[in-house]
Amino acid sequence: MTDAPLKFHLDHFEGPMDLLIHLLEKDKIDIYDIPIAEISDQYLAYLHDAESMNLEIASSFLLMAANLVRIKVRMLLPRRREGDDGEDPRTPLVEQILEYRFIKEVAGVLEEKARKEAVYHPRLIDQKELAKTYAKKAPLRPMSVEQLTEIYQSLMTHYLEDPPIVTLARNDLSMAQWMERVLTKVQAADGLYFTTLLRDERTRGTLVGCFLALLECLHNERLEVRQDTRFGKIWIWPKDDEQV
Amino acid sequence: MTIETPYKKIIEGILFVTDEPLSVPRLAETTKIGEAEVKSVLTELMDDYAPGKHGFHLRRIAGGYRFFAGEEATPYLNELFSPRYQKLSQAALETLSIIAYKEPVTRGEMELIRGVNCDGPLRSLQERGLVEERGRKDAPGRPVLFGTTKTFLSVFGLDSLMDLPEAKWRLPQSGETASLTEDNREE
Repeated sequence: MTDAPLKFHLDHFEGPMDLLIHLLEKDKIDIYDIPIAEISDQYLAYLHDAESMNLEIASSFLLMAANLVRIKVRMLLPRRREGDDGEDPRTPLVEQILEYRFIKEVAGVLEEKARKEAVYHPRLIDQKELAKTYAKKAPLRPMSVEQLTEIYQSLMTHYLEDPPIVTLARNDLSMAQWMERVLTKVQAADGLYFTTLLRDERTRGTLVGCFLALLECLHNERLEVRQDTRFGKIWIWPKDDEQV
Repeated sequence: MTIETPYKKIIEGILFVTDEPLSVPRLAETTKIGEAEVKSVLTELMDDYAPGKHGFHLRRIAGGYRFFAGEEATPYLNELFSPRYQKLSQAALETLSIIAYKEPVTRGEMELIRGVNCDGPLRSLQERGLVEERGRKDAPGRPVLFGTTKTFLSVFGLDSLMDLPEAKWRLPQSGETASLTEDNREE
């Protein structure tokens, strides 16, 4: 029994229960009749042998050691006749061992089940894509290919036009000047689309200027806008002063 | 031959586009079809899509129904998707077993059984979505209670916790587990 009990390191064990079970199984001890004195000596020998342990792990092993010694002492003391139910001081430990042993067994079963389950591939779906398609808010309305072609063509027609010669001059138009420009443009055409208005602005700066001017014109109620459908074309026209 | 009801096609269609197990109550609620009807339709579908009949089959899992690819396709699917299964550590498996049998259970109760700190394993189980918090126990310190998730059932191929091996010995009920504490109190 004392042949080679000290060859293990504590890291090999999941915890004090694991070590205890190892000791019991090693000598094929009947757990319903544990020779506590012997087992606790062996257990303590292991602890002695353990060179390094972190405090957390050490405390759990020591707690078990204390428990074993306590049971050992109680076994040595003469039993009280009544009052203590004459319960074997080992019973709680035995229950704990049984429970832990069962849990270990289940852990093995679970591992096996997970391994078997890995064979099955469940139907997988791109949930995010699906959620987009079936989103309650603003689902995309189906569109015909013709509509798409039309958009593409109008885009390309404009794109294929010769780009105007750009002079890289600083554009320091004031907001008032911008508004004037936008108003003139809209009034000259007697209303135009938002895209038409912005079409000739080729740089980021002029686009921003034009857009800000448009907002300002709307704010001052010089222009009006209308959009019939979501993401549809925006129509801009001069506000009729007499109607106000 | 069974009479084809429109319900069958509805439920078949729903199961086709969902990638989580759908339970009978959930299907009944969605389709506004009675649970009994849903159940009988599902029985038919389970038969229509029994393993071996097609390249995929319908399975009862995690309390619901879900389509799975047939085993024949497994090696090729592995090739296609190269899934990387991560193994759970022994500590995590033990902790998970305790939770599965005793849920809802506190960390203290797990530690009492394993005899060691369960912080690490518990965290990794939560990260993997196998375990979730289930409120707090009405006890000193109001400790957090933990229980298993549907993901847990799916990962281990279980329909419910009843599919786990029967506890071969009486597991003490929570509170009763505290055999050591009880012992201390006597002294």
